[in-house]
Amino acid sequence: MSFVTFYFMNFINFPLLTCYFYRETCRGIVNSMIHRDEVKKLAELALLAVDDSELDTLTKEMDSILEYISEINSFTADIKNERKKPLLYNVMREDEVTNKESEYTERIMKEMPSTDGQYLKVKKIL
Amino acid sequence: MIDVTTLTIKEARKKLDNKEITSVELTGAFLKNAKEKNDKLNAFLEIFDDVLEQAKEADKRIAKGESYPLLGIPIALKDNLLVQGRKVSSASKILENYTATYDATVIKKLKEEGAVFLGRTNMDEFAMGTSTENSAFGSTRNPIDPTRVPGGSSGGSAVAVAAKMAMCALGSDTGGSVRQPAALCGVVGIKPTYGSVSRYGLMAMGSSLDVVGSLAKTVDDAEILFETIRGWDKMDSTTIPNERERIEKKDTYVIGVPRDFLTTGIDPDALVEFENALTKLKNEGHTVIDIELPTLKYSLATYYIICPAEVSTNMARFDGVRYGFHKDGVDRIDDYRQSRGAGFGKEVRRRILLGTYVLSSGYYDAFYNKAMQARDLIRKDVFEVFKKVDAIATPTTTSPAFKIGEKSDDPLALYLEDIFTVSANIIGTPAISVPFGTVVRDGVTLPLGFQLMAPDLGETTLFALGKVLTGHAQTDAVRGARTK
Repeated sequence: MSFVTFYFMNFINFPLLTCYFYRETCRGIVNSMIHRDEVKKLAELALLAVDDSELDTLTKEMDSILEYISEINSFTADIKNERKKPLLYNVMREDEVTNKESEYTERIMKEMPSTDGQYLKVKKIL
Repeated sequence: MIDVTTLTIKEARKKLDNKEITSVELTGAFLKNAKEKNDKLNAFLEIFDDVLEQAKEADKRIAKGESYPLLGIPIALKDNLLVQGRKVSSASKILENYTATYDATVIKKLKEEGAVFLGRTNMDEFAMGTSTENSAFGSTRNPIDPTRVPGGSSGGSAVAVAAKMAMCALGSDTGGSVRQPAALCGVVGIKPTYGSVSRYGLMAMGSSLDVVGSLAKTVDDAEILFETIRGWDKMDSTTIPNERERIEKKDTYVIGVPRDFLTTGIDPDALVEFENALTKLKNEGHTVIDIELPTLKYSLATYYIICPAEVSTNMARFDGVRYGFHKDGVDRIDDYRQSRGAGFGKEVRRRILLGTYVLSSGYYDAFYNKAMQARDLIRKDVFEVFKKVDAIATPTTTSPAFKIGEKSDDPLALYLEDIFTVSANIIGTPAISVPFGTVVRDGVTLPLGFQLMAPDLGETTLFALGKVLTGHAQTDAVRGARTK
C-alpha cells in the first residue's frame, strides 16, 4: 500500500493528518520513513552484521512497518508528552544465597564457546 | 481396545487411577503418532528418547497410590521452556546446541505432578511470528491441510495436540502465539492473565507481554493444565500474589461485541460463524450486547512498537560469548556483530532493528512513549467496558489458515494476523480461543477460532463460556471426523 492511499483511507478518522501528509507527499518531502543509511546505522548500533545486499529489502520492509505504526501519533496526538509513572512496583526479598557453591558452574561453563580452565576466554578488551 | 489418544485428561486420569491403562500405554500411543507424523508435519524439533522411561516412573507413582491431574499424562513443550539437561533452542540457530541449566517454574510444577514430557515443539524463532515459518529448522505444517500454516508462534504445540501427537501442550503467548495457532489448528488455547503463570525459565521475548499458556483438545483439558502451572513465584517478581481474588463463576454472563472493530478485513464466511457462536451463547441464556471500543484498533500499532522495543533489549543477551552460537570476527566487537548477524534469523533481526529505532533518542517520544500512553488509554477504555460486560468477544483471526509462503515475503501482512489477539497482551487480561465453526477452502474444511477476553484473573469466565460453545465434546479437527 502506498503512503498516499494509506493516509487517504484514514481520511475519515484523521482528516488533518491526512491533509498534512498528502501535502508533504506532494511536495516530495515525506517519501519514506527510513532510509538505507539509517538502517545501516541501526544495525551498527544493535551490533548486528547485515549484508549490503540485504539492506534494500530491510529498508523497504521497515518503511512499511514504520508507516503502519506511525498511526499511534494520530491516536495520542493530544496527550502531553509526560513521562508515565511506571506500572509496576518493586518486589523485595532477602539478599541470601539460594544455591550451593559451584552448583551451576559446570553446567554454565559447558555452554561457553571458549574456555581456559575455570575461565571464560574472550578476545582482548583493551 | 479404545483409542487412548481420543481421551480427555479427566478420562485418562480415571483410567490410569483405576489401572485400566498404564501411562506407558497412553504415552506409547501418542509417541507412536508423534514419530509417524513428524516427518510430514515437523511439529517436534526433538522427540525425547526417554519418554517411555518417564512414563514408567509415572506408573510407579500411580501404583503407590499417588494421583495428580497430570501424573502420567504426555505433554509437548514449546522450545522456549527450559528443562534442565535438555536442549532448548527457541527454534534459533543461535541456540542450536544449547542445553538448559535449570528448570523453568512451569516445568518444575509439571515434574512434581509427574507429567511425561514428549518433546520440544517447533515455533517461530524466539516466538516472533504468526505462521511458524520463521523457525530456523523449517516450517511446521497444518495437519488439516499440510499446504497451510499452523499459525504461530506456538505452531508446533498446536499441531502436536491437533494431530494427536500429544495429549496437551504448553505454549507462550506474547501477541496471540497460543490463541492464533489454536484457532488455525482447531484446538483450544488459553492466554492467562499476565503474571498468573511464572515466566522464570521461559525465554523472554517481550517481557511485559509474555505469558505461558496451554493448548488442548478441550476447554476442560486446557483448564487442568492452567491450574497446574499457575501461581505466584518468588523467581518472577511480576507474578500475581496467590491471595489476590479471582473472578468467580456465574450462571449467566454478559458478552460484549465491539462491532466497530469488526467492520473490515474479516473473511465473510468467518463472520457468519462468529454470529452463529453469539447466537449459541444467547440460546444458552447469556446476554450479548454491542459495545464501543474505538481505541481497540490502535492495539496493533501499539503492540508493534512495544514488542520490538522489548525484543531489542531482550535479544541483547545473545553475544556469542557466554553461550550459544559463536562466529569469529576481526575483533571483539566484530565477534558480537558476526555471531548475532549469522545466528539470528530474518524476523528477529528485523525486530531488533525496529526496536532500536523506536527506542533511539530521536524517535523515542514519537514511538515508544506514545505507545506506552496508548497502552494506558486502551486499558482504561477496555476496563470501562468491563464494568458492563463479563467478557468481550471477537473472532480469533480474520480468516482461516493461509498457505505456506503466501505471506512470508510481507512482514506487515503477517503482523496484521495479530489484529484481534494483541489487545489482551497489551492490557494483560486473559483470553481464550475455542474452535467454533468451519469454512471450506479448496475442498478442505478449515477450523475457525472464537475469542473471548475477560478482566484480570477472569479465566474461570473464559473456561465456563468456552465450555458452552464447544459442549464438552472434543474438537472436530482432533476427531478428524469432518473432512468435507
